[in-house]
Amino acid sequence: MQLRRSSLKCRSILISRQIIDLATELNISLDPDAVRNIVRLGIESLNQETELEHTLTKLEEEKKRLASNFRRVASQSLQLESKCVGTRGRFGTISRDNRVLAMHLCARSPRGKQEGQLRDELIQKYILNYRNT
Amino acid sequence: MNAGDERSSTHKLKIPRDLYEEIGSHEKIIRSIKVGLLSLRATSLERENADLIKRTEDFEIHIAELPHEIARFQQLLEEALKDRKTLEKLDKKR
Repeated sequence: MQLRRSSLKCRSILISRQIIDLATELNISLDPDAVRNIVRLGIESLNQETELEHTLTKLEEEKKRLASNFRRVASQSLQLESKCVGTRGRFGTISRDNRVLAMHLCARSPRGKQEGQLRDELIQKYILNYRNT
Repeated sequence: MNAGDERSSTHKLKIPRDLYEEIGSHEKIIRSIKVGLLSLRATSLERENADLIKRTEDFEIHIAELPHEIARFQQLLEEALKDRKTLEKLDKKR
């Protein structure tokens, strides 16, 4: 391949800045092999330059619209995500507090049947069945 | 654009001689390079747009799920707050 490249006979032509800019934007090198592929693509293309420029304008406009919509949706998602994390965090804090309070209750005897039932339910919920959400 | 600007805005490009001879015209080569690059740009933009659509859809799915998740945690929080009041009340009775 190296031998082929070095033996490749080339001819220099002048091209406009627009072509260089377009290649730079696409991150495409304009070495003789790449130029060969680009020229083939250009020949095989069913579209004319003006049609392609029109298509590109439409695609650029579409990209702007899609990017704007993406930013809006991403921001909405971020807000909801933040609200969800906040609610989940607060629930976690209160649950841990409740677990500590339920542990305190374990150390004492209930006064009456109703209090005893309530105590057992809360101990069951915050100590025996406790799991972090 | 004056002659000086014109010169500074043009660049030399090496074309394989066999390709040049096959096509036979300087203008045709320039036009083919431009059309080729514009085609590549169009393909690249189509991919970028498809990627934006996909990423937006992913966020929309996430947005649709979040209110249910928030409501679930809100309900759990309300229940936990109610339990705390009860636990505090039972703790004070000691």
